[in-house]
Amino acid sequence: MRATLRRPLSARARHPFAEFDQLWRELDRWAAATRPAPRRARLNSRPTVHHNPEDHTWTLAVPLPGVSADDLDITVDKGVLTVEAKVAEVDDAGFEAVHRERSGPLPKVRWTLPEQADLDRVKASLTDGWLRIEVAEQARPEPRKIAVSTGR
Amino acid sequence: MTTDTSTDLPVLQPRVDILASAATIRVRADLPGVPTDALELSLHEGALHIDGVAHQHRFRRAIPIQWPIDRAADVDATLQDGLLTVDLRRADAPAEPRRIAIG
Repeated sequence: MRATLRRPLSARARHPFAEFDQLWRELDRWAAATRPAPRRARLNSRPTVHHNPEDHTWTLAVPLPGVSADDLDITVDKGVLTVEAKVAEVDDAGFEAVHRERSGPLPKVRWTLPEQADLDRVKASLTDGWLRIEVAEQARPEPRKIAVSTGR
Repeated sequence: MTTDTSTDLPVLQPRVDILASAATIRVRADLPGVPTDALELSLHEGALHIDGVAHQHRFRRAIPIQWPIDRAADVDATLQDGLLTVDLRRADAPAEPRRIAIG
């Protein structure tokens, strides 16, 4: 007996491409299921600098998680501010790493300070692994009035 | 980037490390700028949920824990200088040897 692959005529007559539609729907479902979930943004670990015109300062901010104030060295030399930091050592004896995202080095900070920066007014604070360095602008000299002689 | 509507802060995913010993699962997460009183941790639906608010952003992440965790045991969590360490006791940890006194 010969098996027939034909579907009932009524079904084919209703929609000749019904099987293609079904196939596209299946492909859409498969694509949606395998599409990776949207990844959330991560923190930018590079330093950022903002100029604050109202209080005449510049602020540098950089995340340094795991760094304590004792492990932080900030120097200013020839107009360049440098931050050297190291993460406190942790004791993971007996542990095996299963998943690592934090192995990257700490950001290097070398900031060429603006010419108007007052090197005697640099403040740094480290709070909960977040470093902020504030540099004040040099006080501008008051405008000087110059007397004009008549030349007689 | 998503934004948390309750605080209007951008929501960021913290970087994490996961380590395992015979008895403990250790999770480390970078949470710079998050003070202890602005951090919430919970363990449910097979994941460790981290939610911490810093001054300009919010860290939020669910970290699936693929090992059975002893829920009755204490969870040891410390947040120091923006670095979180959570130690979870494994439910499949080998029993510690007991010394039996001979009377």
